[in-house]
Amino acid sequence: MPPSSGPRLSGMQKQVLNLYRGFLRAARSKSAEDRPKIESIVFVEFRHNAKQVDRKNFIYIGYLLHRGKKQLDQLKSLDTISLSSFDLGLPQTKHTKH
Amino acid sequence: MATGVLRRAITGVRVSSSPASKFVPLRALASEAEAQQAEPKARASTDLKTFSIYRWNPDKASKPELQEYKIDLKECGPMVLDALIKIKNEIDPSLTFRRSCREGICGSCAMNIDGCNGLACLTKIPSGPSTMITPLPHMYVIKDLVVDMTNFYNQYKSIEPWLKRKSPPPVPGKEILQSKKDRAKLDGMYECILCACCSTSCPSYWWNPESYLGPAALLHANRWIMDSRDEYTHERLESINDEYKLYRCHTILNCARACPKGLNPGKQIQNIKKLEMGSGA
Amino acid sequence: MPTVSASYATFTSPLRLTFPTNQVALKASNLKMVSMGWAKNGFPSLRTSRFRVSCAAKPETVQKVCDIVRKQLALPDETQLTPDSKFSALGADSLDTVEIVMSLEEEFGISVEEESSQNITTVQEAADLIEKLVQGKPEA
Repeated sequence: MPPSSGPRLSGMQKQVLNLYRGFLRAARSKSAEDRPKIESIVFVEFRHNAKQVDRKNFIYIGYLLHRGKKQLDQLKSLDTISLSSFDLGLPQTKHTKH
Repeated sequence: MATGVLRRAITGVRVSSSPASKFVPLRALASEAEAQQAEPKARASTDLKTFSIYRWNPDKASKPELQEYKIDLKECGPMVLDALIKIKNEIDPSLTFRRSCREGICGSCAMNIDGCNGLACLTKIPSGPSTMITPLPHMYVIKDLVVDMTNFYNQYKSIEPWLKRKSPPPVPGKEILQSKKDRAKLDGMYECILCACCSTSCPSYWWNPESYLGPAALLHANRWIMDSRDEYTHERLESINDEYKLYRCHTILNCARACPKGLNPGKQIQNIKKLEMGSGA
Repeated sequence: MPTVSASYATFTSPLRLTFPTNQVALKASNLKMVSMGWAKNGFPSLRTSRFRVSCAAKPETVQKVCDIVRKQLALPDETQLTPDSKFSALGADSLDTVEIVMSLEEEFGISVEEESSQNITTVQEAADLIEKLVQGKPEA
């Protein structure tokens, strides 16, 4: 195995990827019915932030990481069976309706 | 028509027949309020003070900043919390902070005021033209002055803050009694309200926030170690006898300086260390 | 002995799952890859190490990895997928790579450590690591 042939990642990038891996692992432990739902929410959230968040905005990324870790802890709990998310108003969609 | 007249007549009677005794204090109140409003204008002496308050909103993804608010101290209560509530009520409802009892017993409004940790409700508005208010240092900020206390509470939980017994109570179904002398041993510890002012003022806690338990949790550890009714003293000492959990305390004593209840967590940690030596653990 | 039975298990499952046409394509690309390894690299030391690596994993494993990568990245059929192709060259970002490693974990019933998963950038590297982990599994 060649040593670290992968791209050089910053500590924060590694943390994000580990969090992503953690969420996907946690989703495995849920029911076959809920698992794809959880996965798609996690997928959308990470993709959205990967696109939207400025990669230099370390404070915000740190906040998201911290929040994500707490959410992951909740998801890991055996009592948690599913995951849901709200779209708290992207202003464009709201304004077009009114 | 008749009823209308009647009603008018009745109301007229009511007003005019109100007892004078009821009217007087009302008058007095009204005039006082008028006077209060009139006074600043008459004297033209407002006491403006600037509060620079840490603002950060995760939904906006912008950098944190200090926002300035000017408050007339003549129209504000004496405490920092009064000023914060005034700002939230009258200037900026988006300002976010925790508060509840406004008398130093709930520990919600812990924050950093002019560089010192304290409860906003127990801290007088400092004299001087401006005051800076920031969240508790080295804590994850959730929004503005609100910090994430999860780790702090988990550390408190980890010292098992409840009475643990091996034997049943001396009189079955009754309380376990304690002598006045034994009870006095808990003074200086039971008063702690877990506001986190001490732990978040501790440089050692800043560097090892997860592995070092911090002054608040250790003070509570000592509270149960010293309790005459608790029968797990040895196990308690054993569980925190750790290079990081306990021995990251280097008696800097910022904790004693910060405590809004006037406690000395450093002294209690010192007591644990002494007992650890004695127990030979 | 346990290692033999383990590799046999990985041998049977791709036969069940994959299409014969893909199998053929893979064998061709596998060969191509070896020749590319020779042609591209000027340094003899690199050349030999590349050659050894390509021999380490069984073609069946490589085929299975290819299928998963193709599925995960939703690659069209005409896209060339060789064991040597970098995930990044196929349009995968770091999140995609995590997803690929996760589906590989499930497919092969293994658990990839964080450190090793960061080193996986090509099909070949993934296949090699999987063989190593699958062989190590019965002993553990």
